[in-house]
Amino acid sequence: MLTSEYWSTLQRHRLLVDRQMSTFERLFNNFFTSSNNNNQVVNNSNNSPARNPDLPILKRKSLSSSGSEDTIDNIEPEQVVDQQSSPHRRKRNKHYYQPIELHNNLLSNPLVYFTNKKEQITSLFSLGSVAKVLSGYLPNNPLPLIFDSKNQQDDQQQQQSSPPLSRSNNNTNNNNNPYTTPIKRHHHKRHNRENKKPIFKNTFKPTIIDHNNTNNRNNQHHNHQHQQQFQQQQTRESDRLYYSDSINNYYYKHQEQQQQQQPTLPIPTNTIDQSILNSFKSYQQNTMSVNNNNNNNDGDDDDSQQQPVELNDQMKQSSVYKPKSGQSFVDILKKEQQSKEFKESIDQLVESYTESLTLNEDLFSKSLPPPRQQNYLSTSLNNNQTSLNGSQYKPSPRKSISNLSTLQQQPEQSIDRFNSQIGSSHYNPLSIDDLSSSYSSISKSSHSNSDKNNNGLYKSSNLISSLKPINREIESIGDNELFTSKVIEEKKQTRDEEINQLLSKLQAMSGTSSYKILKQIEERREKEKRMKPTARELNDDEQQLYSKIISTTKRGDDKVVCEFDETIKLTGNDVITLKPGGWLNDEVINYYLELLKKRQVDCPDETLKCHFFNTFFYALMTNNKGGYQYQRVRRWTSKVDIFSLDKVVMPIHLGAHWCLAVVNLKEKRFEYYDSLGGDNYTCLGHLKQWLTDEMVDKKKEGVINLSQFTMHIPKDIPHQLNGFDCGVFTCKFADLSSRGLPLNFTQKDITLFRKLMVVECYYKKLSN
Amino acid sequence: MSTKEEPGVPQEKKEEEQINLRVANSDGSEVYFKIKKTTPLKKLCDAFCQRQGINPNSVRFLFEGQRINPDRTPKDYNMENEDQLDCAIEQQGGSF
Repeated sequence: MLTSEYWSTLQRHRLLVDRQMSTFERLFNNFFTSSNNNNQVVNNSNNSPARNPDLPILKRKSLSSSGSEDTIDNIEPEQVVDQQSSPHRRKRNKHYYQPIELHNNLLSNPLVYFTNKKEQITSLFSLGSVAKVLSGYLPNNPLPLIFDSKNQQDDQQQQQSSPPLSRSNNNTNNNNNPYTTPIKRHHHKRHNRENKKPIFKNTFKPTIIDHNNTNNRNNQHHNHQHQQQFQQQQTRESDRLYYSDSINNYYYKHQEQQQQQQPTLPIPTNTIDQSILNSFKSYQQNTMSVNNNNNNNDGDDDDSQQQPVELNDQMKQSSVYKPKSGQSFVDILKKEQQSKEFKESIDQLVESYTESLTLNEDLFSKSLPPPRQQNYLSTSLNNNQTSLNGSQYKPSPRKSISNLSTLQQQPEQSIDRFNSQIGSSHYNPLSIDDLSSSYSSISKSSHSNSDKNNNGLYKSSNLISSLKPINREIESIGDNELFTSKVIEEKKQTRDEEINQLLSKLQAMSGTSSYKILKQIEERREKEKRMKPTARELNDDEQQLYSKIISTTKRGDDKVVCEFDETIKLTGNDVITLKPGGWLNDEVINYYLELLKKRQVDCPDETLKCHFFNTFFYALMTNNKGGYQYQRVRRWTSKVDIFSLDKVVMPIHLGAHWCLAVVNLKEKRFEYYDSLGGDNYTCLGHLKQWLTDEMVDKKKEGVINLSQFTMHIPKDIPHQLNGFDCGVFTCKFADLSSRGLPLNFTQKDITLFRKLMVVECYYKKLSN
Repeated sequence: MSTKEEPGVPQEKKEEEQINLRVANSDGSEVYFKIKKTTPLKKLCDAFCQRQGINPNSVRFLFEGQRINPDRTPKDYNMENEDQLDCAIEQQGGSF
């Protein structure tokens, strides 16, 4: 049952929320314009002093004993525009509807209202998105059926002159019912609750129902001119119209109209409040007294008359009856009108700001907003009670949409509570006890009421028949599981869509060069993973050896520690440079290069074919930076054919810095590795020149096409983060480069490399 | 040219076994030495360092890119007349 209402509330929330703060003011400007238009219409009708001075008195009488009326009135969210336009009414409202007026601020002055509640609104954004998504799920939109679309058009033409047919039909049925009086009670109760929902439903759809009707009703009740018109019609059709208990019948009819006009309305069989029942009794008494005062009531209860009946009833009632029926009526009408205005304006706004709506959808996909806020919003929006009840009514937080059922019920509860509070404060507190009663008691009472209804107190077959299918429909709609499942489905769909989009993008990228690059990068990463870092911890023996060597040597020690051969040997002074923080000298590097050479011989399969020049090659070739001089190194390659090799590796000493230069004959480029990230195209130029001279000297011109060679100074190599490790970096560059491995070590590994180098030099063999 | 010279004093008049060796330091300047093929190169190195006024431990003598063992003789390296020895100074580096 409540689902429809809930949906309507969600819709509203969505509308409200979707208007983001940035567009907030603009939206409300539009809203104002629309509302103002409505106001104008209403004002025209209200300009006439339609209001009888008697009305307030009558109303007071009626209200004094009718708690049910209070509930209805309170249900109305906004006063509609009448208040603004007609000071008379405002006065009356001030007197009687003070609490309601506060609420009316929402519609009458929404900008102020919302600005005051900015926080709420902001918090609602997420909710709105949820509501929006949820609304999309409703298989059968809980929108009220479009009953009055035709009527509305007609009404627009004949505004206020002809009432809608449906209403008249309802009236006739009601009149026919012999059990009117007893039935009335139940109906009344029932409808009191139901009326709330239908009104909300109207807000749902632009479908329309009662805009014209509301105007008609308001006019009937508030406009003298219109009353005259109606009276004329009455006179013409006075034959048909009729019924004795005009007040009760009219009220009953009205409610039934409401029901039938909005067949989708959930019928709250379970939620009838006992307070309403009690209040209704008092209400009946009041009505009886009012009826006595009425002069126009003719005893005829002809049911066949339809339109005229309603008109007449209204007209008759309008004079005498207004205060009371007018209250309920007017409130309902106001509600409808307000809801419609609200809906229309918001729909327009939403249409104009669909972009913002789409943006909000993303929010929903991310996280479901707490249902608690939904509740709060629903109450605030539907009932406009947040301002009053907001502080008192704070529903417990819900954690998932699956709890919608509870959520749906809460707004109603709050409404009842609110109504009861208002009624108690301003009117006869008949329902105070009922108000204090908890929700469970309400449900119990509703059960009893429903039983009564089933027992046949009310035997209007039409109504029942009309209600049953509605119930079914609502049940189908209101299935919480259905909601949740649909929400989940939606989520899945959105995710799938996103995934598909990504996949499509990937596919589109597959043909492009960027995709190839990505693939290469991926392969390179895998390769790096495959090549584990060359640094390794020393085992115990190695650790002991290292500590022994380091501890027994000191700077300046001429004692030979490591002797590769008779010429390549390391003294203590050389080895000590391998201690962490030491600057490596040429002896160590050359020694390490000799180890590399040895590995070339020992493990030719693991390495590229390389030739290693010692640290003096480049220094001598360039005359120690004095300039290129091939003759000094001409005989260095007398025993080597460098053109048959893959790489020629040489350390470059730059005063106080070690770098590595590689002539990569295989990939036809001159490579330069500087652990400080420096460039040295001069060096590479010398190497190119050297290679050229080498070809000439070795009489192998044309073996290599130097024009194909490129300068390659990679920057994505390990960099030293201090001022003393460049020698180690250079050694490792040479090591890895000679094996064609990626340079996959970092500064952190250097300490280990130093220790390893000591051990390797001692054992005259590289460990890996 | 093919004469072997004793290390230390170049142009020492000896038998035919003396040879002339050039020693080029890092800046390109050359010093000629006559040395017997059977004389250890240590004498030549020491003479060069003495003349250049440098610490023998801070220089390295290279022949055709290879370090030479001062205890070896030119005969061991198949040095010929007018061959050139390279004298490279010690290198050490950590950063700029």
